[in-house]
Amino acid sequence: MELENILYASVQLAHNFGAAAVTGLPIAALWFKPAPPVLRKVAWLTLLAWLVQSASGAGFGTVSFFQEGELPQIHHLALAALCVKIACAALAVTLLTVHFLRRTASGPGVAIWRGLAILGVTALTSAAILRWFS
Amino acid sequence: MSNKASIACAGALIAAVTLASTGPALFVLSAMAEDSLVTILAPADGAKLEAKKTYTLDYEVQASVKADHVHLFVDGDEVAMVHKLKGSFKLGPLKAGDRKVCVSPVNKNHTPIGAQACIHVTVQ
Repeated sequence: MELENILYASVQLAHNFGAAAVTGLPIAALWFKPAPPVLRKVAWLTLLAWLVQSASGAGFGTVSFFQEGELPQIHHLALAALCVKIACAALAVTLLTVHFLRRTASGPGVAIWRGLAILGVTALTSAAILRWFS
Repeated sequence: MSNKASIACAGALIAAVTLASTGPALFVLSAMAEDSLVTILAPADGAKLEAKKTYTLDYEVQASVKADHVHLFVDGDEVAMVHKLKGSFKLGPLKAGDRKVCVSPVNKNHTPIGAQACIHVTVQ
């Protein structure tokens, strides 16, 4: 039981930091408008945060499966919320990957940051639904 | 605002949100037996119900570290969730026929903890 709690808490810790970062970093980038080199670093951090979100999200299911022998019972509204979260992560990673593949010296533009902020807020909203519905 | 100040503000924002949302998960205590037991108090197993009526399903889950809330299933389909370990569900209206009604306690991650109580009812 202790191990299970430690595993869930560890995954939750990563997931919460990731959630804060995927939402806070794009909003901070839009709000403070830092110089292009800083924007580029913030973009890398945002990409890292979304990857952490994806891995830790899968971690919840993995801990359930190996500790309880079953995956979480998620249906209806909660399942829809989970799909939205996954779609947000996929879109955000794609958006940032495409940006970095372009090899531009500057960071992402306002449109990309707005998109990332919307994806972060949407994912966080869906997380609340996923937590309290099933 | 300077770049360093911007990054510091962003960091503070992230840290505040993270601490606020992570706190409860870090202090999950384990002090009780793991074998939860769930009981359906009403209706009785084998009860005959009317199709157009709504009934109250009463259940009770023995206190457990793992059990966080309860899912209700009718014929394997989840129809409701309640965040109480002792309480009731609104059951019905149900379709006519033999129905299997189950109450499944789950942990915070919606994962079944192993205990489940089921009754069979005949809906007429």
